[in-house]
Amino acid sequence: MMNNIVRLRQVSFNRAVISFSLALVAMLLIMCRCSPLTSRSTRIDGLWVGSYAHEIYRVHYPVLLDFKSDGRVMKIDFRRQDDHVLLPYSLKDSVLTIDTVRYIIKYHTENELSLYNKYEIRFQRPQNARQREMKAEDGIKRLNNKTWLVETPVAKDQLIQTINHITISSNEGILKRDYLIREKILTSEFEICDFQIREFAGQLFFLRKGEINDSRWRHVELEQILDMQEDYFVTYKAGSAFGSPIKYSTATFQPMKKIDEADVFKICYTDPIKEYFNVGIKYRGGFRELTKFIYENYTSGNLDGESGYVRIRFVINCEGKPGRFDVKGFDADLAPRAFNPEIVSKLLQLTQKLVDWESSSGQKQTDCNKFLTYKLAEGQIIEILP
Amino acid sequence: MTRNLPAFFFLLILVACKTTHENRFAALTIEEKKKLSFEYVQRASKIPQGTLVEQSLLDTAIFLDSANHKAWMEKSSWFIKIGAYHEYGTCINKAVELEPLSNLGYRAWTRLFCLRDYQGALADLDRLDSLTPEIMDYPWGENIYYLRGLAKMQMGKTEEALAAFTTCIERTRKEKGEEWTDVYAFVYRGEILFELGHLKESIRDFNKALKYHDKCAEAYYYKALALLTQQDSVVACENLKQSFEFARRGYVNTTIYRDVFNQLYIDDIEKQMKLSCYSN
Repeated sequence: MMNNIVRLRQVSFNRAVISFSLALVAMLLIMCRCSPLTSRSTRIDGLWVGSYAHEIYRVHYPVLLDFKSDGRVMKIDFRRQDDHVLLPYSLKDSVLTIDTVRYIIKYHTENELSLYNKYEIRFQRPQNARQREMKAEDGIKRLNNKTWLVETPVAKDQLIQTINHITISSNEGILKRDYLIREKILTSEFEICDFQIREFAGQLFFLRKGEINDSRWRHVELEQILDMQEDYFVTYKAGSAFGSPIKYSTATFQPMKKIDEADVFKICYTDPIKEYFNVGIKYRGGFRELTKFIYENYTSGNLDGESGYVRIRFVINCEGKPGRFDVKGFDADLAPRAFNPEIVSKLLQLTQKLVDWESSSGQKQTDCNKFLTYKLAEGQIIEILP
Repeated sequence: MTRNLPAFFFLLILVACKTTHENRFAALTIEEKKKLSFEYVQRASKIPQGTLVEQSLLDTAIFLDSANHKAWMEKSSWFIKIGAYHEYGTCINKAVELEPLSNLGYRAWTRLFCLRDYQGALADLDRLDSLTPEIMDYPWGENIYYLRGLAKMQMGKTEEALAAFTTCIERTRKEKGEEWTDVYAFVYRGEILFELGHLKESIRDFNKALKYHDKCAEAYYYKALALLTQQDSVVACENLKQSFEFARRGYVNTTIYRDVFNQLYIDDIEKQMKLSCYSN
């Protein structure tokens, strides 16, 4: 009798151990979000958010791939007018074929996918969003008729702070970029954009499209919406390897009014924006005219210790206008350093006035990245580079 | 066994859940990593500079072998072109630290042309020269004395610049033959001689430049200026006409990245022609 009781207890103990273990297995599998049997052959199904993106080179154009279980993939390329295409795909020996285009899979993990064809396109899985139940229309309602402040962290080596405000009204919007020094607005520029909230595979995305010029391509920014409340929303710049959440919070409403054409900056053609030496951009009259203009208009007393390089990198659009300025300072050893704010603001204002850039070939113009560096000695310009 | 079952399952899950993030290079030996790193730099050299692929190949090369100076140097080359000075400095200094002989020349060249850091360029050239005292160096394809001449000229040290250009010309003539001399060594020396009022010597240099590059717009232009000072306006105007013609056809010394030192503009030639040749 006693033996039977002991045996029964042992059996029930064993069952409990096995059940507990199985429960533990199930729990860990859910936590790990992977299958022990398929850990080497990672799933490709579902939504991938990708980009030809690099912060240093200011290259960014987004692509979404939504792999369906029926052997087809929805490719969403935002630069085109007709951005949806449902195409057949196959996956074999590290080669992904979408329709007839073959991509080599450089790496493929649970959360990352890198495809290589002519360029490398890096994909990530969408981030965990709080706003899963919200519809795109509700999001648009929340965005409309408000001004939003884009909260961007200030980089330590940035000599000029940039603050972006977006005012949206009936999906049309204006991005106002203020350049500040000592918290005082030095100058502003505007970009006219078309804002949308779109839903893909249950995720909401904030889409900003630049103005169309005469090209079927246009400038596009894509951010996944992680959280959306009445007075703020949080996004994640999709596909960016260096991405971090971006917070937009409501600011004092700045009604949309007609902006002086001279203050509008627009990117005209396709991303990625090329570098100046790829397009052969030159200043009207040559670099000598540019330096003459700067030397004639730059005045500064002798300022002790104000020596080094002030580098202003910017985009020249197809109209030959500069915009999207990024100002940094370096000492003689090329380590980042701050400069007298008056010098910096003067140099930025003069650079903004250089509006006569033209393509050296005289052919169809394009947008490009360019930089000018002012080499200073005790506050005086001694050289203008490059 | 039964008691250890949960622990066993736990371990099994830990092993099974190992993601594919593991470092796939971990199993390689140091030599294999070095070899692969070298191959990555070679692959990167076949891809347009600055593209994401090219830069990531170089990053991987450095990850595999942080002593691969070529990868550091290649990265610095892109950074200097786009004005990312801090990144350039970090990469080129690392390359020089690892392999001074191969990288001092490039650092000197970029300091001279891209940063206009003449003192820094001269220091690098001197250090490079001291490493190879027997050989006349050609940093980034340019004669070391020619680069010294340019740096001294920009610093306003005219006599030293003259001496450097002369050494460039004389040593090249002795060691390789005059035809191997950089034509612009003659042009720049001629310009300095002209400024100093040594007209005959300067014309001799411009003629030498034209002997080896008969479409050299600068040589025609400065020769014309020297001839005008000698009151020989007929020959001067012929030279100006030639200079204008070749400049119009693109035979002007310049780069897509920046103007060269004492950049000649077609406007200068036109202006001089109007002043000296069509004034009547």
